[in-house]
Amino acid sequence: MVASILAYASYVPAHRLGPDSGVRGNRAVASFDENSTTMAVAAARALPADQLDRVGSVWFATTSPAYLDKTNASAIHAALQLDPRVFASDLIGSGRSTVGSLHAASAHGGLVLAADVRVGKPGSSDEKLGGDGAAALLLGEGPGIAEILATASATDELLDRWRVPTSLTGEQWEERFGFERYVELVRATVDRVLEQSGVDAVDHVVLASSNSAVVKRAGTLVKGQVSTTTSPLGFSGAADVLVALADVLDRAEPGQTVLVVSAVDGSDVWLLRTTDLLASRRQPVPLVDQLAGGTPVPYPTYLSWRGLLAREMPRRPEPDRPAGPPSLRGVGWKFGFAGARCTECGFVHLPPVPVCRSCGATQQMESVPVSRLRGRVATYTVDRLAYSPSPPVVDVVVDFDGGGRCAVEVADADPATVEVGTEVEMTFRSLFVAGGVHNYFWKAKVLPAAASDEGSES
Amino acid sequence: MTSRGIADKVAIVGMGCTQFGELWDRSTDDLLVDAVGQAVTSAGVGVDDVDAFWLGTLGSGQSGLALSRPLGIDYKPVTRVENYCATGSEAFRNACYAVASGAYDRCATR
Repeated sequence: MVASILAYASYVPAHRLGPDSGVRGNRAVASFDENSTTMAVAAARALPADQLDRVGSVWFATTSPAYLDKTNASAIHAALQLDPRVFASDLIGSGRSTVGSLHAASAHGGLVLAADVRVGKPGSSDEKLGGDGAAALLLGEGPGIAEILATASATDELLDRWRVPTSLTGEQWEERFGFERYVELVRATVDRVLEQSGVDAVDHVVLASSNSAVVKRAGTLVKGQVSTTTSPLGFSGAADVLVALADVLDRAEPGQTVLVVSAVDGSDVWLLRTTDLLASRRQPVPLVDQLAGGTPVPYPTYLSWRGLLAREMPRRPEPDRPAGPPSLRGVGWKFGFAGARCTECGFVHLPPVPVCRSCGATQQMESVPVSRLRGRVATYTVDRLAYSPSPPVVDVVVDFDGGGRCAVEVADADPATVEVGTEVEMTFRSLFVAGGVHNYFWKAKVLPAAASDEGSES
Repeated sequence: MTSRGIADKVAIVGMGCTQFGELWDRSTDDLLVDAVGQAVTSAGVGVDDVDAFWLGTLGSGQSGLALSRPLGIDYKPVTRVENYCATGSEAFRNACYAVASGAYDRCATR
């Protein structure tokens, strides 16, 4: 059993439901080119790069998998360019899958990722109280940012929240029914953890639950001396407990206790104590800042992204679906955004090619990772005619720090923010789904002005 | 006017051929680079010494770019030939006419 949390990160997508949806607040929604897999990659890439290199296994939890019958974590593994010997697997289904991932990762250390796209019927509480997003937690041998002191679990077969796989939206029983049951389970497991660890009162309580009444009345179940919080993102399915924990790790002081409670089909409790390292290893952008702002998407556009509204399509041919063999041959480029550097003259090619553009040397190439590099826009086009589920399409030619140039689309594009010289970083997205196949690739994302002043991420 | 044909006006001076089969780990780029490389090497020249290209293919890549992009042969003409089962011989035939006409000294066809 490993007992340390080494690093954490969260990811909140850029779009929000706007006032025309009838939903108030800051309901985060994944873009048309995002899914649970791409958001998990984004959260993992917010972890320190040197920590990712030491990952021994990847456990990906989601209630909204891009694929069944095919592992989604392998695409995440490819995007992170992990060693082939690193095991990667999905745990699919509910908020409890994330707890399962934590158990799996704490056996020998590992990376826990959780991500979800939460869809509710228009006007539903799931639409209002849900949130799309992702979080990452790296477990391993210390020293870390928090030590795991004790854990307790109770399993319960409870028809409180459910969804049949063929349905886009789920259902819940009356929230009071689940609440009454969860109260007993939470109090019992919390008591066991406090008794095991000899701790009387905890500083922070983090409560995650698939039951909305438990979330609303979190303070009546367990109270922390400093804070009692639930996820500021709303209920994000499998990501919920890790997003809520990330929020607390953003602001907890060293040496404080954090009680993490996940009330999903039972109750799972961890007691953590933060260390001095936490202050210097916060995630780059705190969750509350990730959640603040955001771009409203017109409600009919949002509904069409989720397949809840069938809009008139333009008269254009359907895109071809990606084929298996070329996707495998080009896996380093397509999934990893790795280019080819000529070993004779050093010229970097994006995408990789067999013959050097500069010196003509044939098959003298080595792979060069580019996905973590920043670049500058050399030129751009705002295309208002090309089809996009979120027009306009903004294409840029990017010159990467360290060499290499290529043309890519801009993700979550706001034409007003794109100019020659604008600094960008890369983000992993699903360009479209054709013939039942997700076409994964990378897009450029404009760096906020403040971030581009700080230089490369560590 | 009586046509005279092009017998004895054109010589094949080099040749390349890749493996045939279900080559999952080789792309059209890889196969083209390989075949062209073999052909020019067997002729004792380099790719730069070829004046013009005829590419025969049914559906691979886009236009002549399917050849010029992987080979990096900017500024050399590439003609794309598509003629079902006669594609290969049709590409070859036209490359021969180009040499026989005196327009080019060395042409490559694949």
